[in-house]
Amino acid sequence: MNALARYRVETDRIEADVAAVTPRVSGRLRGDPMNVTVQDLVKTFGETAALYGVSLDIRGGELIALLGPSGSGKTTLLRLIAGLDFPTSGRILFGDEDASTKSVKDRNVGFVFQHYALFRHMTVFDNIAFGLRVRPRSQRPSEAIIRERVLTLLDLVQLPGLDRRYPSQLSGGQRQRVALARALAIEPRVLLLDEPFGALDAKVRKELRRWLREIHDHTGHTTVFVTHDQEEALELADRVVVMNQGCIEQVGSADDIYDRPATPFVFDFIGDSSALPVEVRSGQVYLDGRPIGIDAGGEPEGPATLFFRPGHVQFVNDDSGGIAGIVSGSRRVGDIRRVELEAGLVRHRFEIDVPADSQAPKAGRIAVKPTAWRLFPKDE
Amino acid sequence: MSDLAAAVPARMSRQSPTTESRFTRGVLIGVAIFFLGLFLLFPLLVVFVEALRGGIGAYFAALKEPDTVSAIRLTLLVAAIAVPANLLFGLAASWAIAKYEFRGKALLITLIDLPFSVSPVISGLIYVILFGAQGYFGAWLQSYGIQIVFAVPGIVLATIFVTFPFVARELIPLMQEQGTQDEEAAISLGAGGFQTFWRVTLPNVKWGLMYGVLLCNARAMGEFGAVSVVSGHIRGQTNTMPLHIEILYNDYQWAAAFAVASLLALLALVTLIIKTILEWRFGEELASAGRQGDIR
Amino acid sequence: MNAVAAIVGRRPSVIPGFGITLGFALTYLSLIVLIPIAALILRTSSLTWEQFWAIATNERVVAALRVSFGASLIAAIINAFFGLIVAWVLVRYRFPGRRVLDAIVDLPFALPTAVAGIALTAIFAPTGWVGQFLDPLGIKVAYSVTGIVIALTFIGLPFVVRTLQPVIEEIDREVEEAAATLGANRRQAIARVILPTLLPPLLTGFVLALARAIGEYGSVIFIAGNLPYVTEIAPLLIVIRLEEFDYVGASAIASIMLAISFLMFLAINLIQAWARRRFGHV
Repeated sequence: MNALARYRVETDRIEADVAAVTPRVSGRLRGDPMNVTVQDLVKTFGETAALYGVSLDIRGGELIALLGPSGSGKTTLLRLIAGLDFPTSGRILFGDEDASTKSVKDRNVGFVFQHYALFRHMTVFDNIAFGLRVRPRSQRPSEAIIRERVLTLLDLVQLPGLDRRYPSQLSGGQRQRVALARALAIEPRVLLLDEPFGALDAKVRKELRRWLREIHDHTGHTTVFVTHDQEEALELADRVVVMNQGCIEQVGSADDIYDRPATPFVFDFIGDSSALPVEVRSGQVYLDGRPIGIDAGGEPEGPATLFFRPGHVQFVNDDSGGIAGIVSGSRRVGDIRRVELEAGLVRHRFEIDVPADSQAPKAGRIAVKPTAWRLFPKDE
Repeated sequence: MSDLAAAVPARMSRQSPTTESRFTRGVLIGVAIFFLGLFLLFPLLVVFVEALRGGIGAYFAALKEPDTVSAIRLTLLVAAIAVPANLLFGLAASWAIAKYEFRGKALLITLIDLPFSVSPVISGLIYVILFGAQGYFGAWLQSYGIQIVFAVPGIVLATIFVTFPFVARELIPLMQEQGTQDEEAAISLGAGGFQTFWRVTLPNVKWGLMYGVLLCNARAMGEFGAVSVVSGHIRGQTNTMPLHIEILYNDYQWAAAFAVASLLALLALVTLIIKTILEWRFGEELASAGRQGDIR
Repeated sequence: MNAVAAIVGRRPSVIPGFGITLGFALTYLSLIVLIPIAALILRTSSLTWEQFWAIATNERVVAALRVSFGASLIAAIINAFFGLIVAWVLVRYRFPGRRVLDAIVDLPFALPTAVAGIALTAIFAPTGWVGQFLDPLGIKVAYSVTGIVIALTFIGLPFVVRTLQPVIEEIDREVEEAAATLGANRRQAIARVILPTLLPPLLTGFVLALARAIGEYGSVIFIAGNLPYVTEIAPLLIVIRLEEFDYVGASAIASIMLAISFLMFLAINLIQAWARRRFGHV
């Protein structure tokens, strides 16, 4: 934390220095919280579409995760925000300013690449200093200021004393930190990270995750990162954007996403869940023609899918009031025991959790009733 | 939404950040085409135009000339000895190097490459020093009436020297990449050494082998410097096609010189075409260093 | 068989044929390459140091080496410059005819040097295809050092292109994008990020082209004019010494050239070791 505190002090000082040289960037060293607005972005690669009209408001200073399976368009969206690709249609606003017309080099975004993309022929120092040194002369800080800034950043990313190393002499986690320091050096308006921990092993991932959160909280940049790891997204981000097949499925906090999934995809993709094909008839939910004791609420009549988490069930005594199933197996998962059941004539499989120490039903017929659930009407 | 799309202002910088502007690209492509055109395509074109300058009749007449025919025959003969010899060596060397671990392997690979870094003239000179009239074995050979230098054996030796590395160089990295598992599996299944080589190793490297033989052959038929030193330039006897071109050219029989040259240019074109096809179709089965394999 | 295995201390293997293949390879290598080259060195070493020095500093020899070196150096520089452009264009851009152009780069490997020699002469001789237009302007290409440079450029062209191509193919696009996100314009990205990574292969290709050019004979002698002290290259001087039955003189010049080749080979290895150390594998 010492390094972080020092970073703030140093940053304030350097900010004043740099402000003297270049009024343009003043106040931006610590990430002037910048709203980013994405409006109706469409991106097609040839025939195939990668994004279908995506809109998103990212609040200044927010740490946001783009979460989705591969091919969901999350990296495409990140690259469009950065200006590495151009949308087929739609707009991207940085604050009130339309960034769509700007090239990547003028957008002033910090981008951390999945494989770091460090310049192999440059030392760590030169890598971090690169963004400052390529500025037009009128906006370029002096070498002394650059030096001070680079060393401060190295402290921030906890790599003091490694400035003369080459990237090939660093571990994966260290390279990741250098990549982040390099991106921060240009005083970005927005920080974008593409699968920032994808190439690291599990332990380093967890450490860096916590550390990235700390850095974000102290520097206050608007930060967007892409991940396919839901644990990472839910733990780290203020808000999570769940994407699927080029569309946004849901935007919300970890609680929203987990407890109130907006779409079947989200319910299925986040955490464990069981899905049963049911039918809504006069306000009641039927499975294979038998009511299962769930009130359909306002859901429309007709076929629907019932989602519930394995833990959100209670046993019921009589078949009429729940989902009756035949136990087909059970396994131990962490602190609980997960029991697999087959229900109805066509043997729909679903799972429930029971305490690990409970006498797990090994066979036979049991009936359960979800305590929390979501009904999604079938589209067709 | 369509309104919004329409409202999007004209994009100023749609250019991908990882390529150059259209203008720069155009200029660079132009420079590359011009340079390759001037230095490579133009001379090739000139060979054929000059060869046919006197008409088709004169062209074939020049090729039917007895000295030319004997030069063609000698070139084919030399290649027919040198290429199989180097093929055999390439197979033996790559087998030994790729399938076993032993001391001095790196040195051996370096030595196999050695002929590539020797001037063609020196490649001929070394045999003159050994077998020439004043060479180390000159007098001894003379006493038995054997002539190597300024005769066909010298030409064959010099050709073998300059084409020495081609097959080995292609096969060594390829076989190293493939490791020894296939062979070990074959032997564990009861195959003998030769069976293993014939049925397992050879099919695995056949395209690489062809690639090496192709380049080896092109050089064997086209070698000039080394052969020139050991040949003695006796018309109708020790003249290969490239040497014959020189003689015709120096005799101011330009059309005839270019006629013979056109045959070698055709050989070069066929070589390039087969090589390109091999690279496109079997790129994976050539040595990973295949691209650089023909360098030197 | 066991004897060979014992000498080279090989690790045991179930695959048969080690003795016969290595034995044959070593014998063949010795007979074709090692013994003849040793003979050359032996012949040179029959000279005393003073005699060798006299040959090496003979005016005509020095002039020939200077012509060979000078022309080769210029040709290698031309090839480094244009070869870089050609390699870049062939790897990065898509345009009609690209594959043909890519295939044709190997022409100097496939086309016999004598054919290249007479073709280039036919182009650049004072009455030739291009020469007839240059001659009235007072530009003499064939039968001058310029002609030698042109022949050596032809010979060396593929080395730079073929050494650079795989390296350009391997350049990580992300690295270029990183430069752009950090505010570098395309010119800065090329100068500071791309070119430095291409420097080692460019140097390697340059030295390869240079080494090949210094030893080149066939394509040069037609276009050079072969005037002693002016357009006479070192390999030609070896041939001339041989025709005078001056084996020792020829061997001495050849030894000097072998030493030069060796230095070049060393240079390439140093460049590559340096590049490996510096760039590693990230």
